[in-house]
Amino acid sequence: MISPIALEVARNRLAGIADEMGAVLRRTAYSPNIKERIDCSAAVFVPDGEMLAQAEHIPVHLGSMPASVAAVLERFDAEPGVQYAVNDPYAGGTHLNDLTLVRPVFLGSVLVGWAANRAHHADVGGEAPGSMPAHATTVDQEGIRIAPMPAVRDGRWLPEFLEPFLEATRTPAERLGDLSAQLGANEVGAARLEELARREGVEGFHRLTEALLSYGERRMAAALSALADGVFTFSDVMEWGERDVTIRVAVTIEGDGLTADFSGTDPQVPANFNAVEAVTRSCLYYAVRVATDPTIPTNGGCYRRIGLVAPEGSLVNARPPAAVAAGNVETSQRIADTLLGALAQAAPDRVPAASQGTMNNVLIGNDRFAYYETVGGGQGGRPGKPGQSGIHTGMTNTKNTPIESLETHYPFRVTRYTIRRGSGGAGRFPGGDGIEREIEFGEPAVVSLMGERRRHAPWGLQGGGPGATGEDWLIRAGGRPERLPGKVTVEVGPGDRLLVLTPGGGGWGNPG
Amino acid sequence: MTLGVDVGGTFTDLAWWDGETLHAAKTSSTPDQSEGVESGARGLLGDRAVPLLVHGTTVATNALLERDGADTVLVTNHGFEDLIEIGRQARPSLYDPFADRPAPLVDREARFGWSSGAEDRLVAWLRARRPEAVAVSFLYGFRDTDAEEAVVSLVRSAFPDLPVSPSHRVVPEFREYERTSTTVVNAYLRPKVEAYLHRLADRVVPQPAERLLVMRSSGGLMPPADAAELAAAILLSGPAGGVVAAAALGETMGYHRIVSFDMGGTSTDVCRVEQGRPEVVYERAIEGQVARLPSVAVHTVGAGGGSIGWADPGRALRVGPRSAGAFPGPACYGRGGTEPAVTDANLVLGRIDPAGRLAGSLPLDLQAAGAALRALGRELGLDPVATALGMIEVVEAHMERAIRAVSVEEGADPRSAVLVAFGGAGGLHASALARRLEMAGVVVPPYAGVFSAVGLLLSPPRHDTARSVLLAAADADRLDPAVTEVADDVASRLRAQTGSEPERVETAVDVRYLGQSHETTVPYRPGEGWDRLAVRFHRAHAARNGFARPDDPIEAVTVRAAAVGRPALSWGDLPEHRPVGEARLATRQVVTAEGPMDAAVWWRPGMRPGTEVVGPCVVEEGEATIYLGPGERGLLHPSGALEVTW
Repeated sequence: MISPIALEVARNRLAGIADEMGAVLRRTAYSPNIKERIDCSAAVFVPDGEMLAQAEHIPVHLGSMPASVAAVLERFDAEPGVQYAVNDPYAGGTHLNDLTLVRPVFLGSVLVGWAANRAHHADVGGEAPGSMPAHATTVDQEGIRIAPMPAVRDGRWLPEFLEPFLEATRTPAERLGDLSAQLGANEVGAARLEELARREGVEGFHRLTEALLSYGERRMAAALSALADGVFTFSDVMEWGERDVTIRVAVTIEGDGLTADFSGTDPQVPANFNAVEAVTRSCLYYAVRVATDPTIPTNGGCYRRIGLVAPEGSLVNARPPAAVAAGNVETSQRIADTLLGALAQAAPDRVPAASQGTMNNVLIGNDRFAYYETVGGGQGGRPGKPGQSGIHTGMTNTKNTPIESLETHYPFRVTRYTIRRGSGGAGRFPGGDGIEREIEFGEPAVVSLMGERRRHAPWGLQGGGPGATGEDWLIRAGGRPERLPGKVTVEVGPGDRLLVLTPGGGGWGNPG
Repeated sequence: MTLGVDVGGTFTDLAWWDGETLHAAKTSSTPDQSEGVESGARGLLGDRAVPLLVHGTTVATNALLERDGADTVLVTNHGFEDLIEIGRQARPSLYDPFADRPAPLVDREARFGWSSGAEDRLVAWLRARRPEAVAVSFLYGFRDTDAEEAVVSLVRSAFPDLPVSPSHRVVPEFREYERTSTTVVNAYLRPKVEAYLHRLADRVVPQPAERLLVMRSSGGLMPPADAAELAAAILLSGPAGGVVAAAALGETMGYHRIVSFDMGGTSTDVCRVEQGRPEVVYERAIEGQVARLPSVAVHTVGAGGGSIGWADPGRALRVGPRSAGAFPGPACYGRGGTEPAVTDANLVLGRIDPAGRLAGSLPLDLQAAGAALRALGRELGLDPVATALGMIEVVEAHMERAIRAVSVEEGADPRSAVLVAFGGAGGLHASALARRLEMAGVVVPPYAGVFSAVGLLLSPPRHDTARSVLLAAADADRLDPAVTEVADDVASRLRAQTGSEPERVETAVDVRYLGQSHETTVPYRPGEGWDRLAVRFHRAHAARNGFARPDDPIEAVTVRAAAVGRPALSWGDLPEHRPVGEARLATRQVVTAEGPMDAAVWWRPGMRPGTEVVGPCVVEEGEATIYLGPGERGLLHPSGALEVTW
């Protein structure tokens, strides 16, 4: 029996280990994507792969880290001194940019746990800079695919991993910098975990970690018990040209357990916004935390109470060789919306109306530069207060790039950056407004947009109105504004301007 | 002869150096802080005039906390009026949709979108709105200062009494959001700080220009006129004093790597110090408002003596973040508190004297503390003593995490450092914490109750400035003039303040690899040249970040300078500790982590330098208690500091 004190002390220590790994990763990483946008996560696990603690910065990593460890566990007998790499969405990954490094932790010859961290690599090859080609229909068009494999032995990179990876990317120097940070973060995590296990002894450590997992389970059980029992259904759509692709879910809450069943969701599509199961799982954990108790510690125990049914070959559990780059960044937003729509019926006082539901991905580049940004929008109106304006919601939380920084390094200017007034849905508690962002180009470039909620507005709740849909406009030098579709690639020249209007959040409650 | 006064939330601490002896006093803080300063000063000095007052104040911080600053407007570029509201577009909590990004200090109606030819419109708008303060921040204002200056002149000529803060004078650094936010914070605080310093001068120091210095966040003193104009620079005025004192004491004792640990009632401040210099950060968020000005790198944990223990739905024993505060306070204050605080736990375990009085006057209610712990213990199936031990173990786990965080974030190892512990609760937890972290030792300084006020006496006059230049190797010839300019600027300001040459002028450059989004600050002197700067940067980058790219091009982003003068006092000036009264008071039972044991109770003011005490024992003094566990030994240093080893 582990005391309530030992439990809380151990929880702090393990969370501290994950935090330290995250700190080392950010501190030693090379690329802005990790240092500034903090598109990375770190976690520690018990020997059978259940997660003990996670330093999370990006919700979409929430449920997908354990999949990486599980994929390594399935394939290898863990060896001391070896770190395994994986990015294959169909074998423990999410989309190819997210590379996870997994390291077993031994005390003597006994496996006592795992340390793992994930970082978004800005380019991993494929048919477009940034490895998210908008036209892709298969995953191999998106970059190099690494099924779990040994990547490090005794602190040194193995050429069979490193050489093909650096060969594939357009930015090998930056990649090597970020990889070194990942390697170092796992070493720190492993050393600290080993120290803790040594102090407690193998048996004692095992009892302690099992108690921590049971603790997470109890916290989640208590939170779920507080929700109304029942079956709650909801559906929402992704926009595919003029067609819609439907995501359907039935959330069953029974006592202190919850299951989300996505049966009835449309099949995967020959486009790049298919989501693998790990992404869907992250969305589920995210939505449940939002709708219950955000203070529940992230550990595998709480997931024991949460079941997922995602039909194989559907949009939410794609099978190879479907392309998946935007599944992680756009479809994840819609899966979360769909789940929250269902959970709002069980927890009406916790769940806001739909937020902007997209990341408004903008990619600009030519043969001498590549730039990527996401743009915030409106948060849905909340039970008791309005939604916030011009903010990231749902499965992402990356920062913007300072205008004075990007204009110094790239051949374009930001000519307008304001809140998009009046775009939030009406309601007793109105939705937050989106953003207006206009960019003027200084030289020929190719622009790719990946946005959603361009035809279907973010929904309101409890009688609240919808938020405004997003809009994308191209204003040719000396010409009239022309409306662009939400997902498009266009060529632009000097003096042309791109205006992105991001969606507002839905309203909550009857405006009356 | 100097009076140091540090105003905190509950107490105003005073340290009076009369040239031979240091006198300490404490008085209650007052809503108008200058009243407490006045009564405290009178208590120490009688009717004598205060020759020099060095002052740490929370006036600026409180104005932000209570949102009680000036009615402020922002003039910025048309089309970018909302930049201050969007910020970096990130939300504060990933999973709590109800957590709000702090609202900017200027709401939508208080922002003016400037474009050329808007002169008349701006004047009319200001006339209609009648604000109390104006912030001006344009894109590239750090570099193109003329546009901001034009607006400043316009406003000055139309409204001569309206204070205007232009971004290029508050913080001429690149990154528009951070610069704009800092400028708005400054404008918002300026009238408050200025009015306060006037009141203080009226009450205590009739000639403030010669007799008053204000602590700035970076750990140095500035004249009141500068503090009023650059009000955002005194946001960390309070915590900085303790860190400076810890740094000075560490140097005197030969400890060049320390972690200062200031544990109070509701929070604990932790800061790293290397070679006597507190770690400095160039940006921080205070009450959600970003201020990009140098400050001691204090990391605050929301846990202290008043933190409350509770059982969560998963049946874990938790401590904090809720605090019993000053009222009702811990259960043992006997003012109606029924939930156990960390102080109650220390009392029940005998580490705090049950017969003692807190802050000199308040009798402690052991029974109330016991009842509160019993109630919590029942929920968890623990007896009151086990509950008390548990709360202490848990709160120390929080502290452990904080100290690791300040170390690891900077690539440092806590094992080589000494923990310098002060504040009301610091000495009760320091040795257990340091042992757990395998640190080199613990020092509990003398004057523990007024340590921050002593730190003010030890603080040098100081001016800081910075300017973004964004230079690549091709512009290398522009680096030295830029560094020289900021160095001359701070040196002449300091000269004007003190009438003598600075003790030292530190210059540095923020450098990054081209394309990186973050900078590393490295020391640089004009004349050393670009290549030397590059080498130093590669080395610093490798030390802090674990790698370097010697072949990659670098960029010099911002040049910095600090001019530092001579402090009023150094540790060496202070007399050796002279024992007064009995050293050994009694023996009482304390509960250690290994169970109940008899512990010697010592009275620090009566101890002779060189006296060794062996744990388990308790070392008491006026406002603070030190607890040593079994196997720990304390040695009284000639300064009066207690050095603890194990």
